[in-house]
Amino acid sequence: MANSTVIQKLTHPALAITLSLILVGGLFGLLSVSLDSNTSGSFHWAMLMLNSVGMAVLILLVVLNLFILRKQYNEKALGSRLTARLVGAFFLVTVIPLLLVYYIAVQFLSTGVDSWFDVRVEQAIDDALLLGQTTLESLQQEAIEDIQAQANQIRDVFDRNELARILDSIRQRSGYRELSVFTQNGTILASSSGDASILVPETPDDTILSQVRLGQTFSSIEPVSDQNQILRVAAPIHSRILGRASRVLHAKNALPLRYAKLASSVDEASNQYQQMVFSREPIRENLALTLSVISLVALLLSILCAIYLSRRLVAPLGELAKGTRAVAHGNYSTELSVTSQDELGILVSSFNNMTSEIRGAQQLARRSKEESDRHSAYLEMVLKGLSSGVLAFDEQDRLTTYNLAAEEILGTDLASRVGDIIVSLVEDRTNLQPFFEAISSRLAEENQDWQEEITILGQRGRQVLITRGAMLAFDTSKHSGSVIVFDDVTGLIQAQRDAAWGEVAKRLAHEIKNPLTPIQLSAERIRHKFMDQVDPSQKDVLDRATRTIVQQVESMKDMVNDFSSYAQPVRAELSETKLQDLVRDVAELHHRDDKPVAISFDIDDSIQAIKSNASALRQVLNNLLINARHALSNIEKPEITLGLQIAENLTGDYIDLTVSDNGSGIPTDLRDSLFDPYVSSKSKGSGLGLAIVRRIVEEYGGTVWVEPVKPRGSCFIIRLPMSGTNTDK
Amino acid sequence: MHWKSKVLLIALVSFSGLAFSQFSVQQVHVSSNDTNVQLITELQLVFTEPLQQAVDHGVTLQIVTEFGLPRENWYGRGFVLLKEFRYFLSRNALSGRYVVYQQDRGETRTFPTQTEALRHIAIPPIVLIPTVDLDGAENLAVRTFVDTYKLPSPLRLQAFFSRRWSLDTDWTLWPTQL
Repeated sequence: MANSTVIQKLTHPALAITLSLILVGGLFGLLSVSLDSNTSGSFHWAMLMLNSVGMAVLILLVVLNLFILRKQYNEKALGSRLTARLVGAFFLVTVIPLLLVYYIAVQFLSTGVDSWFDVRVEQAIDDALLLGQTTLESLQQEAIEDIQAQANQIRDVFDRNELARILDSIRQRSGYRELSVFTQNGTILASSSGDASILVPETPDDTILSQVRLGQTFSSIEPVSDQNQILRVAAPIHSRILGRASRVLHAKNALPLRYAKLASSVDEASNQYQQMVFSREPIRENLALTLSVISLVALLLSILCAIYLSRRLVAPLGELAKGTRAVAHGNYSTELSVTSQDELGILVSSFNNMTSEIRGAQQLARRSKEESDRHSAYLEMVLKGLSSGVLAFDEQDRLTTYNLAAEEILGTDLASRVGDIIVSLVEDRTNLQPFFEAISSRLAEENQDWQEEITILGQRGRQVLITRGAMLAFDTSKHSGSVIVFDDVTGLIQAQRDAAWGEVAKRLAHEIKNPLTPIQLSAERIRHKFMDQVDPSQKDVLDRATRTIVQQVESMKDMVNDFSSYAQPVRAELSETKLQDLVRDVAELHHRDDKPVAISFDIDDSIQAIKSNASALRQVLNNLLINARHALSNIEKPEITLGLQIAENLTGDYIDLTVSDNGSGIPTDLRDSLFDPYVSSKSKGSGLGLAIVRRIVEEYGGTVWVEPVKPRGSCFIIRLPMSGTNTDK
Repeated sequence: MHWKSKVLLIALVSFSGLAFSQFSVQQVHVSSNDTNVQLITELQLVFTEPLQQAVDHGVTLQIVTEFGLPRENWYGRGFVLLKEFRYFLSRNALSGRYVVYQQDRGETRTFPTQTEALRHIAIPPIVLIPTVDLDGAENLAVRTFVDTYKLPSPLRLQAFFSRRWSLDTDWTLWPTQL
């Protein structure tokens, strides 16, 4: 984090701008130093250091920025390619003209510097110098001749006072500034000076003394200040007296002012020119170096400018990219800051408007979805509360929605079948085949509304379903699916039928049973009163007639009693009943020697005892066995099979009690109404046996139905709940 | 004035080398009394070829001899300047003699050769430093150098970065008392 902050500060444009201003100042200073030789060395050094440090920092900045750019380029950061292209373009646009300008400037400076040195000027200066030297040599020669003459004048004067007097006279006459006599070792002997402040004359140096000791004269012109020069001459004084050592006459005289000025001017001009010649290469190198630094700075600054400019251009694009990514991830609250009023600013504003509109639309969609969810929840709640089964199919007849009642009525799990087409729903539920086939054919017909009573063999046996269908059409021109609503009206139909028959039975019992007793009594009274009075030949007729009346009345009473028992509700006296024993006990009663029937058992002995009314179940089983025996009366090898098994392929625990025979079977047209009162395939009987069977079974929460047996015969199936009877219902 | 004279000949070694040094401090005679310390210094000054050429081509060189006291500062060892002799060495084109101008005295001397001129500069005047100015310092320092800052600007760039131009003895220390 700290490193990134430091890098951000280092790569901030403000630093580059500040550095650029410093470098421009430094370069200007360096250039002025290069062109003006009078600037101070400290300033020159400061400018060099300033530019060196500035250049180092600038190079560091450029390298750092290029390194960051390269890293971003490798990481495929947004905008890095555009930045790299812009930097490359800036570099090319800058470097080509810069190199041209640099080359031309170096050439120009080189020839410019060379133009300072004109051959004629050099020759003139050399000539002036030579002229000056000749003039001065002439002056020196005159001075030497004069000093030699003066030396001859005092060659035999050894008295110091006399010598001083003569020197003073010569100095005043010849105009010397200072005139002195020394020994050859430089010891002063006498002196005369025009300057009263000089007490001790200047001693000639070893060079002068040694030259004079050799018998030669010495002369020189020496500068003492900017425009003052002195003419120094020395000559040996040879005495004509033997044994006397030679001495040295030393004289100084100011060079005439006119000569001195000219000499100084020539000297200065010559020195300056020589200095220029000596500085020619350094000047050229300095200017070339300065130009190189300026060019390099310009190049580096252009690269920096390109990087910063590209970043400034790319930054809004990066923000836009982030914004679009956020929108892609569903974050519509992204609001970008508008930092400029240019085209990029307009683009950012447009993005903000877009996200704002999307946000509004999203909120609207969310509200709609919430509304839809509420409606769906409400619909689901309604469907859940419905006692009717509801199935919904889409336009391709795939199951989309169902409710709990549908699962309960059909006795199957529909959760795993959502999305299946309707024809595949019957694959593992063959008993539901009639239901789904009927629906499928109705859907294929594309009827708007339809209703059909469909009978299926459900988990409780035969079920009658009143099924209604409607086609859904959200778009009037297009089929959008169907909804199926169905009710299990098996119980209702049966209850209505039973109620009707019960009422009939009660009325019949009441209307018929009441007159039967008077009829029977009247018949017995007639018999008793007129038996003895009638003709003996008629006695037999009376006897048979009254006996027939009484027998038929008894028969009618039995029939009425049966009716009464059918009409009366079963009074449940529940007890733990082991059905296996019950079945075997009842079967034992039907073993008759006169009409032998083979009775076999298919009993699951693992079935637990259930709570039930054993006597009622005995009656049920007895009725079915009586019917079976009747059906087998003309059969060569009559067989009855009693079964007791756990019902398979059903939700919940049920027991199937079956009575099957190999008799003549039940006609197909009687199967649906076989359990109704007074419906029978037999020539004899009241027609109430099976009706009573069904009534008892249903009182116990079970169902009963008949199925044909192949190759012949019938099978009555009683399906009872394992949890016991359900008489409370 | 009563001088308690002590003479010390110290072989001074600067960091720039021994016999091969162009500029070096050869001898320092230190003598002192109660009030002053007297310094008699002898230097060795030899020009490199670029400097000889520069003088012969009209360039005036400034040669500086400094005396100072070492002081420890926050950045390390520094020196407090006590005395400075600045010589201007040039060549008179007309006479061909080498002119030495000593700034503090305002004195001009001419010499027929560079060597003689440098020999003159190599023996600076006797320096008297009041004892109180020493402030208890145990060492004194001297150095001589060509002042490259005073060169004409075209020559400075190479002078700043070239040992052939920037001749310098660096500060050389010796004890103030024995």
